[in-house]
Amino acid sequence: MSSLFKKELLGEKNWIIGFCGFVLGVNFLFLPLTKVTEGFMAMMVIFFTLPAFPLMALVRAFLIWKNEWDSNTNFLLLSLPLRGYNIVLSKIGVLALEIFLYVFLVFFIPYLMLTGFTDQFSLDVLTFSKLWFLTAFRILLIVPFAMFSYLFGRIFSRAQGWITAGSLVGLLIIYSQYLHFGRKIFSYLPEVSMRFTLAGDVETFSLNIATMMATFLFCVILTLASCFFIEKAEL
Amino acid sequence: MIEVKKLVKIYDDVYAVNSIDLTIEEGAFVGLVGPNGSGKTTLLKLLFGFCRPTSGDIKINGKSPGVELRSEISFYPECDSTYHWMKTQDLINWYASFFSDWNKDKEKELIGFFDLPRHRCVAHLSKGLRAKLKLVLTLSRDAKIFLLDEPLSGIDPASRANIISGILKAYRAKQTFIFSTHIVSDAETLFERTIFMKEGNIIIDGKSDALREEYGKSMDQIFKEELYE
Repeated sequence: MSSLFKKELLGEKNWIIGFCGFVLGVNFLFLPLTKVTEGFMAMMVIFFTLPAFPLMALVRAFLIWKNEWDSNTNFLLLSLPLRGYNIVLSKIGVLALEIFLYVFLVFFIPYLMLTGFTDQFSLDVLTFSKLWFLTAFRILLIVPFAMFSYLFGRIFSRAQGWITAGSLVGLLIIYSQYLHFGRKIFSYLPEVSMRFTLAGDVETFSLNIATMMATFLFCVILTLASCFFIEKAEL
Repeated sequence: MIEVKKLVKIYDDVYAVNSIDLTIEEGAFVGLVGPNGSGKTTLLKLLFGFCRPTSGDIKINGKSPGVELRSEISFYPECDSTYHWMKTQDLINWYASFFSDWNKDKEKELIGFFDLPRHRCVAHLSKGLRAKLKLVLTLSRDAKIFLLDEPLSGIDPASRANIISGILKAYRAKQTFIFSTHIVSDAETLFERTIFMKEGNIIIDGKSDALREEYGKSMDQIFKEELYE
């Protein structure tokens, strides 16, 4: 599995460099204004780089498989004597690394600038880590949806594109129905609250862990199904 | 041993493979010949488990095709399936790391024989060299069964002769080879048994020498006359 993961990592290196370059570029353009704008620009950098990223993660999860199919490397990959979970988990692993790295850069550079150049902002390291982990983890939960849809489409020998699109829509409907039930399973979990100081005011916000864990459980099921589908894919 | 019973594969209402019955003994070198669209690739994909039959049954050494059999079968795809961003030797090392039956001596012998540049990026190799690289990946194993899908397709005549010699070099007794091609003239001397396919059906199947004697023609002539009539 480690050599499969290494191969995926090297294959995705251009995407990783591209994403990191984008974050660094945006920071380079806007952060010099941090001091003048009393921290406002550092917050703006996060708004420029983060909101579109979940959609990008969805597209990346499709592309990581589509590239194999388009370049026919699926013949080499699927000729390996490996169970489907090795292949699926190595791809999820690389996407997880990509997402966690991107979100880290999105938060870390503005965090440094805000704490370094203004006395209006404060955020302790533990809260920063929680914010980073929970944001990245929530984005990562998008990946199994795309992977499931793509691989479900590949087990059919015709209309694969339509089946992929249909299964993604169907999956979202099932997920929305499931969520009411899923939240109840994890309702015993407490909310995670985070505090930071901005412009002299103490801001607190909390995150519903029950929803996140219910989604995680749903994603585990989708990943197991994807591991099965990859072994049944029609080439 | 490969046993195929009443095998059918339908794509978009077209019978790619139409009720085929076939038995291939261990150690046979079989030529699977036929024009484009005759069902050769589909049959090989079905044997490897790259697609599922619409109906019928396949048993290879008593097992159905799938992940469990991939450690026993080596498959050569017709299309370029290599990772272009890798270097030749890196790709070979990476692929080899998954197989317990990888034969390092065979790998070195084939790389030398095909004169394959070890440290060049796959993207910078010619089509012929990429075909040879795929052959190194396929033939360097001590697998029980080798499924070669059109290894001569799109290759110039000089390289075709080189590829055939490479395949002969890799061949070991008790290994089963199924070699699909529509370029019969170059490869016919390899086949001890030849299966002619047309429109998803097997139309001629027999020992190559017996067929030459029966028809009084070379395999290439039988191919041109029987399949295109």
